[in-house]
Amino acid sequence: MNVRFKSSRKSAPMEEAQDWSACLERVGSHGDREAFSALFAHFAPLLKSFLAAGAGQNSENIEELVQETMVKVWRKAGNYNRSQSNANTWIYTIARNTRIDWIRKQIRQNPNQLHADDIYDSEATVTPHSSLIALRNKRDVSAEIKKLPPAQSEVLALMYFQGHSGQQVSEALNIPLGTVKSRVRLALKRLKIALAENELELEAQEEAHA
Amino acid sequence: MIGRHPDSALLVEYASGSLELAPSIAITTHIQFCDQCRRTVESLQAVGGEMLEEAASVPMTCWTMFLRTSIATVHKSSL
Repeated sequence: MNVRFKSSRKSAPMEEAQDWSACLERVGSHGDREAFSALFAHFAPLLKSFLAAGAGQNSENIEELVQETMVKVWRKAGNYNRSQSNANTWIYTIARNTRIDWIRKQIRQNPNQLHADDIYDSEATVTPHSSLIALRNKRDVSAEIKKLPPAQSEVLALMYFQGHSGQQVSEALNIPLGTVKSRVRLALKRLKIALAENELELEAQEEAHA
Repeated sequence: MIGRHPDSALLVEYASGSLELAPSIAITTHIQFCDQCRRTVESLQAVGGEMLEEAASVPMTCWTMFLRTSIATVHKSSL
């Protein structure tokens, strides 16, 4: 599987200290080139590996896709709100939408189709809750994601990096779709992401068999 | 009260971008009214952000060129 994670955190101290939210705000408020360059230097190589995993194309096209994503980051930076999401989540959603549109364009040439930006609600209302959740998400998710059992992180990696559906994961790993779904549920539980009530019962059964 | 909710695998497909157009629109509509699922989607997008941050960094072949082109693209369109 060509999904790779960093073996450990060993970024340069300079980079570690960067406040990416502040960089996005500087780009958004006055088109700060220095802030954009810093964002580009950090995120472009991450976006390259992220987009390459799902697109299955040569790296020349991938770099164009990275560039398209970064141009959108610049253009939309004025809408960025740090109380709503942290910088990497916000950039992730832009990359995801860019990839969706790019893949749809490969499949059929229909200029009138909806764009991913029309489908996803990027202007979600900011409530005290969502700013709280943005903070909590960052803390919980980053710590817990590395501690997931391999069977669960493998499923999530296929879905997020390769852009696989549950069905495609089931085919790729040669496991039943029900197993894929149950691994997703168990992973979400570990990441402390709330499940819908109708899934709690299923989850209890899985716990009993785990 | 909304009685039925999309299952979590479906919400992950939505947040990670593999879900087809029509069901994606259905989920977008659902989360306008369902705070619980909206929060789940927000968290799942944060998982995506974390995945991106943890991705193996692959150097751009000519990143200064791409950086300059990106800046030029933005400036050209804003004139």
